[in-house]
Amino acid sequence: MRRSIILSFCFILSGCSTMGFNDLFNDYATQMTPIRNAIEKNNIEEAQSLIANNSTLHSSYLLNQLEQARLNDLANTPDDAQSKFENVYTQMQKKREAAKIQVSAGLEQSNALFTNDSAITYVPPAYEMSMLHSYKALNYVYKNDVEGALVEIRRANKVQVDALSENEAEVDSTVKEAQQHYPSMSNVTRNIKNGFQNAYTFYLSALLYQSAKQYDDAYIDYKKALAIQPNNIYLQQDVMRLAKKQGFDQDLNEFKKRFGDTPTISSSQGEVIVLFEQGLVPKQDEFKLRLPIYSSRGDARFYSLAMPVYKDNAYVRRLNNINIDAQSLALSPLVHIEALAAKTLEDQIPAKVARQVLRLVAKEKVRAELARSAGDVGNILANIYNLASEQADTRSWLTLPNQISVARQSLNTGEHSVHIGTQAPINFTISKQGLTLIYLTSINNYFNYHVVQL
Amino acid sequence: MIISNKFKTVSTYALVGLSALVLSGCANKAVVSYGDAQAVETTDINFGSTDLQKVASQMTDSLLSSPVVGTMTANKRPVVFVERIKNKTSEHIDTESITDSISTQMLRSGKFRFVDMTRVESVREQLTFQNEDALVNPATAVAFGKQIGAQYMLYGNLSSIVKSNADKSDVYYKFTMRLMDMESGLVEWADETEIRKTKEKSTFGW
Repeated sequence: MRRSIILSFCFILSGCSTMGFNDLFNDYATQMTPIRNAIEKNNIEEAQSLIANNSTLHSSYLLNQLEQARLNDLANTPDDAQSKFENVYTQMQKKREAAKIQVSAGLEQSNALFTNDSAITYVPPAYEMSMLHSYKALNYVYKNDVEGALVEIRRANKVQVDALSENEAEVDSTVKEAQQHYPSMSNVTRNIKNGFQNAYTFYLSALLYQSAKQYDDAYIDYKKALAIQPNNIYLQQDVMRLAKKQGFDQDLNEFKKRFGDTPTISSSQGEVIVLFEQGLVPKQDEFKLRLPIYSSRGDARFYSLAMPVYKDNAYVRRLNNINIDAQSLALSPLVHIEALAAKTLEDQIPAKVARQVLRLVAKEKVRAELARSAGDVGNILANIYNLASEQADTRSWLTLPNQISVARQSLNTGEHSVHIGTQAPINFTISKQGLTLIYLTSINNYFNYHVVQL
Repeated sequence: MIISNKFKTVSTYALVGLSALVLSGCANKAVVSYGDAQAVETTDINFGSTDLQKVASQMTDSLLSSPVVGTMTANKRPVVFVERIKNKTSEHIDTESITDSISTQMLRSGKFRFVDMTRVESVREQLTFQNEDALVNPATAVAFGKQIGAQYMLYGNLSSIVKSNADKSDVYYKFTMRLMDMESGLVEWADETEIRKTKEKSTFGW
């Protein structure tokens, strides 16, 4: 009997070979807190020194690569970021092409039964993948390689198309039942339809197509972005201008009914597009879900399960206006990443609850067996292990911004400057019929900008 | 007792799993070998060397065997410049490598001559040095303004359609190429070549 106990612990520990010791007793969001604090203090070097360097075998390897790549971007070392992003993309491509039934995935699931959900390989959800491709595209744009950027845009588009087709499956009734036990996250999700369609990615895509003079493609993506953010005034104007330019009269008339007329841009002017990302996406919190479990004798016992949840909107110090020269311009939101993240979590709830219940049964069996063979000591040890290892799986890309908004203005050719809050003014040039992109990142005390002529 | 039996089976599985992990760690021996550069490569579904070779050789064959090009090159060797191949796929493909292959094969045929636009800046730098630096004997310096202008422009597009579902992934490439007479603006020759690659997922794997 003693041998079987030792072997069962070997089994548990083999589960941990894909996790660090820290991961077993500390959830991901807690581990990331000091790194997020360092970014907010404008100390990217400290953040980079604090972040774990997971091996390829680690269950959170891809997530770790995403975090590191984003830190590289924040530290203005885009080449390092690009190689990490590309690495995540190729790993994901391999996963997609892998066998339908994988032995390793089955082993992971059984390991997760004795530890927690963090033992399962982290697969970035669609919204994180579309953000990855957006950041990669931006890095190409900063190098004035629009063709390379458009490759990334097409990849981002495929992520969203694939997610849409996978999402078509009906939600069955047992899933709805499980969702009822969960606290509502509707104030975070803002009632968006799905967790993968990202107006920011569509906007970036449209902008790049516009700069490549592929106006039909640009029009389609502006329209997709508008469908997600119908109240964004800049999107309304962009769609109407392109509809007019391409001669889509029927569409144009409909838009005019909805949004009114739009001012035209004289051919001697150019445009400035300000994309502004602010804050950090909120982390997932842990909460105890109390579920009745029926034992073989038929008596119900209440067990609490550790589950991840988005509790409330994160407070973000947010700017709603910028000044171009002397004129004030309102920022209009394109995406709330916290909403995408919360919606994605909502969709994952059923599978998570199902796994938690299985784990509860498995851990309870181990405890009962230890109590029987090793008496009180075994019982206590097993209880301690069960309590300590019961962690909610709070993994998500935590260095993403909270919100990305846009402002757009037609200007006369020549030199201009933009004033953001208390920052020093940023100078930029407008060329005739040209597009100038100003990309701003602000996370508390961290501030960074890029200016590119598209 | 039933439980402990179950435990024994579970722990046996665990041992098997563990030893499999250990063994897979030891089996990693790197072997270096030479292969055939023309061999068909099917490592993955992405654009690869076989696709590049196929596209380049089909395009050159089509161009060189076209009757229009035949009359064009009957008594002279027209001067061509390669504009570029626009990459409209979902992969970062080095399209310059495709145009390099095509122009090399066209040069080998002896029917065309090329000017290389990618090296204009280095030529300019060298000629400036030869003509303006006191180190160079002016009698041997290559004079400015003697280069020959190209009559034809070679350009094209590479686009792709990628689709995938739970069972397979499919990628379709279309490569289009055109030769334009720059004086008249007429497209004298055009052709396209298609490639389809499909990957079916296996049912079981590690």
